[in-house]
Amino acid sequence: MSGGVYGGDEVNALVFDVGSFSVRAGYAGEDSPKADFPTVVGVMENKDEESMEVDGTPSTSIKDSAEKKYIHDTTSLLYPREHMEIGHPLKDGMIEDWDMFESTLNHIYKRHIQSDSSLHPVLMSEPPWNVRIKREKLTELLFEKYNIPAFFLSKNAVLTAFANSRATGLVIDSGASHTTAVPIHEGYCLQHAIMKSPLGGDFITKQAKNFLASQKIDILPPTFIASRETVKEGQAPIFKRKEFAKGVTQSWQDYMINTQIQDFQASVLQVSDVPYEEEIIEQMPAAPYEFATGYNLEFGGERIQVAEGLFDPTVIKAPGLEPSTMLSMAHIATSSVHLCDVDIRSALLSNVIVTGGNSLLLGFTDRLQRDLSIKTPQNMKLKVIAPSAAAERRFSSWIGGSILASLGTFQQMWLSKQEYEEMGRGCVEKKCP
Amino acid sequence: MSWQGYIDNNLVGSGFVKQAAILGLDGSQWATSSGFAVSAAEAKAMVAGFTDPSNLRASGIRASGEKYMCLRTDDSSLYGKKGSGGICVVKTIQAVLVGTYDESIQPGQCNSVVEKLGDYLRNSGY
Repeated sequence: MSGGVYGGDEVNALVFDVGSFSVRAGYAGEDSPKADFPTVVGVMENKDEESMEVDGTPSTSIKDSAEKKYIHDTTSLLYPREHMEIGHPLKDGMIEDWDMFESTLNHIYKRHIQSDSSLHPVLMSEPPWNVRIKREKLTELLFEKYNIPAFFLSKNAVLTAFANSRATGLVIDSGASHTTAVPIHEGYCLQHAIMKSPLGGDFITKQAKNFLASQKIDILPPTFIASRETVKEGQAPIFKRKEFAKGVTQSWQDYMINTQIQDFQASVLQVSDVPYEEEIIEQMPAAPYEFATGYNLEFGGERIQVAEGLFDPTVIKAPGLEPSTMLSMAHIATSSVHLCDVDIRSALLSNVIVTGGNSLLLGFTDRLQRDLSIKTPQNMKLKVIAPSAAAERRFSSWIGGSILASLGTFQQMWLSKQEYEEMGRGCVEKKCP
Repeated sequence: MSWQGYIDNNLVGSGFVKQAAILGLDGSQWATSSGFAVSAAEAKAMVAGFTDPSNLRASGIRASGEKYMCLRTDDSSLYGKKGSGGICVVKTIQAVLVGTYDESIQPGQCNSVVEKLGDYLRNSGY
């Protein structure tokens, strides 16, 4: 087995954690990732080749990557480029567009790791519901294309539990595209009891966008503004729009607007610690926010209203969404526990781990604790664990991966290149639970 | 090779399986390692679990009187965990292979051994 080859401290393993909002990558054993950049990718058609034909095909179609140019990382994405569409390599947390994903890996190795991929074993996180075919394809890609010496694939919820020094627990991960409740038992995820809800960061962004639109507030990212003047609170903004050279795409503009709303989300929104009532709202302290246009306003009750949908889906007003089909945060947690073996339920409830960027909304954990305690049977102890530092919650699965990959006892669990060559790509199903 | 041979040489003999059993799909015992006995009722529950795992998920996989928490199921394998040890159950065409491991064995190693024998038996028509 691979134990002898990768013993000791000199492992130099890399940990990749690809989430639907951002990608985290870095060396195992360090306390934070070297790279943290948005998962979205700017896609440009290569102009040299017959661009007419390319224009007609949807950008998601799989083509030879030489025909396309991919743009990565925070700052490069902000620059307005002609015909740059914004694409997303993941769908439902799983890798969907392999060309984009490969380009992301290239970017990590070239810009952030700056070392040869054949020198470092790779530990990667995956969503707990990842399917066999995608796991095998990923294994094949890393061994064949990047020539890595060893590989391991681990569920991100399990890694989160490790980062919080737990082997058993219920991981509530409120990320960008969805919120999930995943029960972990002794370092294994109980796949049948996973609960998912589409209420996550993107949902809140959409709600906030609707709300701001209903208030007739212009959302323009700073890139779009040439000059502005200071105005008093609530007054119409005075600003000049920057004229772009022709051809910036709608998807790029949407992306830029969304980043702006995410900022608004992080600075203004709050989750109320009790269910939403009209009277309480009046007493809420207001939070001021200045938009890039110069328009500024204090938000009072509205800041709670927008986020309330997470905990009480019946208040959601959105076209095309049936509120009754959505599950609240507390609901997915309890349903998941109920799908588990009776004997481990109390262990799960006393280790509820909250993670994910969306859980950083002010008041999120307090409200979850409150809603869960109502639903918890009297004879069970409830304990909600949430790291207080924002970085720890955003990077929890990366940190867990960093811990796991640097453990001495883990070194014999790597799936080595030799084993891969012997058993083929199917071996990932056997070696990585 | 007798069925006991598979247990002694391929499963327990590999050093990565603590206890092992080979059962028929009807729940009968074909061969077991010493001190390990899967009762007919336990075996039937396992076999049923390949088609409808809801029962196993609610009450665990039972083998030789021990209860293993059910981790993962699909139509050809079941994985269970008990403390730091665990169980791997693989279905072939005519038989069910059971292998357990304790804290001294890596779960991935045990699973590989049992699954490999499963693949072999399936390919040879059992």
